[in-house]
Amino acid sequence: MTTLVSVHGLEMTYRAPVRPEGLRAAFRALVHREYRHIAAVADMSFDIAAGEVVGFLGPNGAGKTTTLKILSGILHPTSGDVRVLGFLPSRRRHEFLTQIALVRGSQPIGLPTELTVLDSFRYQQLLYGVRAADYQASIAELTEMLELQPLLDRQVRALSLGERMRAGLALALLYRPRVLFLDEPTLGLDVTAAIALRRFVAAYAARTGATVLLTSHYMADVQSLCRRVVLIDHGRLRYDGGLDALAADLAPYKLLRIALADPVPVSWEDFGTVEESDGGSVTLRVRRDDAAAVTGRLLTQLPVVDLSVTDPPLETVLDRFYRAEAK
Amino acid sequence: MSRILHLLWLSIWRSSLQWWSRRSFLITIVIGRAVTPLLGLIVWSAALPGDSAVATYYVVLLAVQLMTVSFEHHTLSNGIYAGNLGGELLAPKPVVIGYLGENLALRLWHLVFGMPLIVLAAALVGISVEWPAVAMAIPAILVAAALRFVFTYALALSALWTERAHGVVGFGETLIFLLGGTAAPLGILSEPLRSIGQALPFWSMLGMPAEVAAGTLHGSAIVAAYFVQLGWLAAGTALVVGVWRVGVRRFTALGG
Amino acid sequence: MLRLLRLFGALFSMSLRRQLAFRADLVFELLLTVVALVSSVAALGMVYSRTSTLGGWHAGQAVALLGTFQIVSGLRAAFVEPNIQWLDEQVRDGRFDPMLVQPAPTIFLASLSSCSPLALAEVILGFGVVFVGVRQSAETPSVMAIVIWLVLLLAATAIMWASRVLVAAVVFWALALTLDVVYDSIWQFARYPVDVYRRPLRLAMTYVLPIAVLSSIPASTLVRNANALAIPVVGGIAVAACVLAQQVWRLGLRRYTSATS
Repeated sequence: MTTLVSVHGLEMTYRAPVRPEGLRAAFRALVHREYRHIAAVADMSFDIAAGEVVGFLGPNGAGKTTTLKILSGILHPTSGDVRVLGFLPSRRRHEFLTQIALVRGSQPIGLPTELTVLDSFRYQQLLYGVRAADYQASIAELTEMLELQPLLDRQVRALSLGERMRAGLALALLYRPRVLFLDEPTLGLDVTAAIALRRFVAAYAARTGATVLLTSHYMADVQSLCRRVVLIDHGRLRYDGGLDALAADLAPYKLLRIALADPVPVSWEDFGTVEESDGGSVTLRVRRDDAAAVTGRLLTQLPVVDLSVTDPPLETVLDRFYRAEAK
Repeated sequence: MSRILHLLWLSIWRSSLQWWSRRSFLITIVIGRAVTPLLGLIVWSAALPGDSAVATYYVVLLAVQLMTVSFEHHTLSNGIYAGNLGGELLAPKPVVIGYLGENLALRLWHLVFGMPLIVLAAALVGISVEWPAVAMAIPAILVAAALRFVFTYALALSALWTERAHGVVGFGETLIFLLGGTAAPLGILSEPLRSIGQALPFWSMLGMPAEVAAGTLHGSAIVAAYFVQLGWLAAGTALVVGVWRVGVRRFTALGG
Repeated sequence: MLRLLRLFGALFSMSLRRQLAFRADLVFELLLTVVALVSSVAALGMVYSRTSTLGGWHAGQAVALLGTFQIVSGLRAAFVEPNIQWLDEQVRDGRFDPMLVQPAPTIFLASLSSCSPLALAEVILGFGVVFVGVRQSAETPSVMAIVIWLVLLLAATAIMWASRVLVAAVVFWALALTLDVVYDSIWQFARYPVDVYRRPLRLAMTYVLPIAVLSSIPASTLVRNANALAIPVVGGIAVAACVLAQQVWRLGLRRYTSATS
């Protein structure tokens, strides 16, 4: 499979001026400015093949948005190799820009906001050189799939965030980019809107074979869309691989939730570590490899009324992981 | 009453600090406000070379302008557009206090940052001011400052009815420019334009104190001008109170 | 380039259609433009009621100059200001980033991508004012003078664009600095013939700041003496200014793309 995005040894360091405390230091700073170096991205390497839908996860300030900005050409990295579609993104060549799209959840539409949605489509068509036939087909399809019909005549600045996100997505997909960068796409959306958006992106990617790079802090985004996850923390790549394997890697245990018919005194420690215990049910933490065996023992030895075996919620896993890394 | 004054003082203090932290932008604003009197100075000095009275008048006008600037279309109108009015109506203080405080703070900074400009212009032009005249003008400046605030505030309240409040206030500013003594010193104009101009409120806001301080207005004319000024201040205040009441009723009925 | 022109044309017609849809706004805006225009002409009239020449310019000539100023001002208000006045905010908010990802020159997107066709009313009225001034000066300019005037207007517009972009580009180096108000203040000095200003200021406005080029030089060609030599000189300045603006913008972008978070 062709590699569309290749990143090797990427570094992005900024200089931020140190603002000193105290009057004397402030005067000295006037003459001699001191800087500290912040490494937003350090030694990052990964490859993404055509058609993949990859999720970038990480706490706030991890460097996910910075990475996306570098890949789309907005930021010029300090060092390292970046190639997207064979181009150097920071050169911002015309052929490169017409094949990518960047949609940011915080402001999904980058066009003049006094235009109506329909006018914005026309603007995009001219900007990206979409042929008339393709334009008609795309606009009809996108309007239907994203339910934009009632929005077409309204000015962009009069739309709510959810409406802007849908319109912004449609505007980005109008010219069928080969690579789609989505930065926090469900930010600020209500549950229904977020679910609809995820469904749409998944369907779109499956149908057109577009490569999607998605950043989010919502686990639900990544779980429903991506098979491959890249975990970024403090600018470094911590994990790159399948989503299922991530849980197994970071948290090699399973959770067993048991409800008993009668409250029988049980020493749960024989079976596993107690995570939670509330009245009728108990949640045990058990090593993955032992899960099946322990389940069997529980079922035979105790009056079990309800039992479920689940993976630990990825959110909790990640939360523990970030906090451990922070130390 | 003392509580109101205390609140006003707090508002002035807070606004002064806020604007100090944006001083580089503020300096550009001061320059912007100083341009029309300066252009008037240059053009009229070129039109009437050797007439030191006109030059003195314009330098004094610059000072009066900086002391009477009003930006309520930016503070009040934009505040209404941003949806802040609801919150302000709930606070246990008259809404106008906050805006008055900011207005006074801005005028203070305009004077501070504009002083070098005034001094430079005065030095370059070689003005001659008589201090008794300036003393006579001080109450006029205070009334003019109050009148201009009231006028601009009333126009800025149009934000409760229309999206074009900036245009409305701009229209008012154009009238002040034309008939208030910036486009031409009123004393230079011929009748009946001069009398009409002196009767209208615009001159009372700007040109009148400048003419008193520059010494081009004498004796009974000053007394008459003061009467006109105070009359307009009373009328203007009544107008603002009326417009405010109607506006707030409309706002609370429609939700802004 | 052709694509940019088509884009520009489409944006213009979209903006026009939109502004025409709000009739009350249209009338109000027109009214404001007329009022401002009348006020400027009246102010000039007040000056000429007390003197017959101002810096060597007669009333009709000064009115023609004011009209020329209004034409270029109107073009600035219609095409450049609606975009460029937001640049400093956009750079601070991160709303500038989308322009970097769009396949068109960022300088075009930041300075010309939306317009306010209504401000063209000032341009049209400006032509009217020039006509009145020419009539009043009792000398009909030759066809060549008119042609030179039009060419110089074009050059003045280009210089206006370049200088406005240059002043706005300061934000790439000093994030907190907004010089929009200063630019507008200096702009006002072009209302009057540059000869009104005393020597040091006049020299500065002719050779350092492009004030003279905006209105005095084109108007001078129309109502005083037509000088074909003005075309290559002013034209050269216009080209140089545009090139400078482009280069400075590119440098600014390079700074922006390596420094933001």
